[in-house]
Amino acid sequence: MAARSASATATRKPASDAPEAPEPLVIGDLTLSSRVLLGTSGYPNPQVMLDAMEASGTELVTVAIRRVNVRDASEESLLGLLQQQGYQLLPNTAGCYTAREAVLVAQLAREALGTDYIKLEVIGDDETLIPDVEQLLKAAKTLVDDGFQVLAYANDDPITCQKLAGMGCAAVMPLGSPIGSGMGLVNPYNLRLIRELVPDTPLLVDAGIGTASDAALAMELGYDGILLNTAVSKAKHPVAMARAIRHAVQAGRLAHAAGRIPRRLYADASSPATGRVGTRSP
Amino acid sequence: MSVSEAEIALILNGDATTLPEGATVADALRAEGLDPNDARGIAVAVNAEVIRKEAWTTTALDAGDDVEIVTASQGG
Amino acid sequence: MAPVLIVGGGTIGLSIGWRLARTGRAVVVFDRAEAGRGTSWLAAGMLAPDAELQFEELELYAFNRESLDRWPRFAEELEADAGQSVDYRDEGTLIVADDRDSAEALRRLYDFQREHDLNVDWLTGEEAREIEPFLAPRLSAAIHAPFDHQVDNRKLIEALKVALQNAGGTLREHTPVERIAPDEEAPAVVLGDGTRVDGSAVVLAAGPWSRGVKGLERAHRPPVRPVKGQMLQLQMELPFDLQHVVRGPDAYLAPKSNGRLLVGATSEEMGFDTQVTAGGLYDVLEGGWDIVPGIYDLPVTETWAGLRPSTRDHAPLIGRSAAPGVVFATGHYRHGVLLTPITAEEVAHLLRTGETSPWIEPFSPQRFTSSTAASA
Repeated sequence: MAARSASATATRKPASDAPEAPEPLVIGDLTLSSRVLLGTSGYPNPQVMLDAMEASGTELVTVAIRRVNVRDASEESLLGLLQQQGYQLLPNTAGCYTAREAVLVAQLAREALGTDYIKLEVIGDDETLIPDVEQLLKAAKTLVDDGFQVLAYANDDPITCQKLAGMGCAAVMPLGSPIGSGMGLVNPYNLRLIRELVPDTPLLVDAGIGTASDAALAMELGYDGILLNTAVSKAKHPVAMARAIRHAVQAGRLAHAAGRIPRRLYADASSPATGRVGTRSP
Repeated sequence: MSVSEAEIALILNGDATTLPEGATVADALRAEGLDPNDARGIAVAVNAEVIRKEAWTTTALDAGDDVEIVTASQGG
Repeated sequence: MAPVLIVGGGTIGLSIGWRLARTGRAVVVFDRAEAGRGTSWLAAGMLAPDAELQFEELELYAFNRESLDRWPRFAEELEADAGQSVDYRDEGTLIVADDRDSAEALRRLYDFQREHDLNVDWLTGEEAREIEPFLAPRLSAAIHAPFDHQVDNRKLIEALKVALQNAGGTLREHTPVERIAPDEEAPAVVLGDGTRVDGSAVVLAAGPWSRGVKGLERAHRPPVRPVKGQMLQLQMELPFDLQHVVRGPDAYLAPKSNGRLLVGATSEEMGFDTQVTAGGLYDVLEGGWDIVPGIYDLPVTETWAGLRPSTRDHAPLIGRSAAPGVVFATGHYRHGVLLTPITAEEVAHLLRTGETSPWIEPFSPQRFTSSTAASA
């Protein structure tokens, strides 16, 4: 039985040109086979973090830039562990409130880690962690002009995102909801508008993802990837959640490419109306 | 803190400290217990200007300089 | 028989020495300074497996729990041998929430605790204040963990030093071990002044400093890193009173019988830095004040920063290491005082019989030999 169905499949021609094989995510010069970007904060312990990263399939992980006081930069340090496993690092400017601070942190990150990639985050207030648009745009302009590949964490405002893409950011990353809130995509309508206004720059949903369906929804909206941390690190089983996110991103991407049906107000029976048992032919 | 003539007072990662006069960025790294010749993952800013690794041994520090030494830590 | 040489005179090293000495085994405990003045002295002495239950750390929980069960008898024997108290207190622990988000997180912890049959109770804010009147009026919910106890870690250290020596063990303070010389039959340590001391086994129990002891091949060194914790000590004065350990979202308060009230602790990846900072104290004080505002008027009697010996999976390294003749008892992270009885007894058993007990087998120091290992 198994052999028969296998040979039947082998002789069948592909029915359409829908993308079955996963295509890579390209951000600037970086080509990633995974569309999941994962943060490194708040896991039960470093071993769980490493296992969750592996389960998520991620290749690019975010790190913050902080003052050192490491008199023993051992292989047990965060940087040591991540480098042993071969992850690419995406430094962020978390904790910056002004363009000036963010630019300095980006420059330090480039020097420390030898990467032009920066997740630009300029926060407006520390209760909501929502970006300060004025400072964000200013910092993005400065960094793009300075040769950085800027992945800009942004408000879910279509015009802000369009401006960031227009000034040459490598990717634009609107929030689904506030950082760490796990509230999901609270304004999918805006996210969809952003996709329509920014057709050619990679878009990722960054912040707010709470569970796998949020990740799938982001991908179904036509986003190129997601960046998340807390949904995985604070899950009861981070490794299992990381695996779920990986599948959700793949499923959402496939569903987007497959083309969803339009919504209808009334039902439309799937089974044929003709030949029903117990009814007379019309 | 009293400062002798042979020392300069400056801020190192937010703390007031003293280094010998003529100290370079490389000396500041050593004062923090770091090896300037094996400082992967480390970057330095003096008065909010990044000092490239190549210039660590030649950049002298002045009294009152604000030196920041940073590396990667966990973040989202 | 040559003595067992124990490198590190904290609660772990001293207690292994005491357990061995009271069965007649020759032991020497080395400490580079005054014994027990490192991590052990700067801890809070909480014996709290239930409150510290973490997702994905159930194996460690079982170990913590077993050690807690051994604590009362351990304390009794220690107090008898030393002739002094360790202030074992069994009032229990209150874990409290101070806003809506932290109440949700607390409920999630409670559900997880109940799922694993922990003996804990859910209290309203009002019920919690009946037990501890000095809790903040706005606290909305609490978990009562009656089996999470505490000792006075400083009294524990004093008692262990006396008990070790009363039982015939040798304590060599201000005697840094420069290097370990591994050998299956006759391992040794070389002291700072060059003297070589031969032994029948070497136990590395140097906490966060374990990695820095020389003489082990790079791949054999214990993968331990320091995690800084800032704390402060207040003096309780009437009418202020607190009987239970109280843990909030951002700080805990641990009252001792002699009036010391410990408030802690930050958790910082800062290498061996032990500077006390304004921000660190601010975070701890604000977290403590949020849940027990009555601390406002209490005098501050001490502030400090200690180092926890942490491993990659937050579980200790106990048992034979890859270096011949060298046993590890380190990497206890935030559970050193809690894990003192089980570590001391099981390591003493290993050294007497050569057998690794099932209790310590999951915590083998060799589980991290490859960098990608342990992805269980």
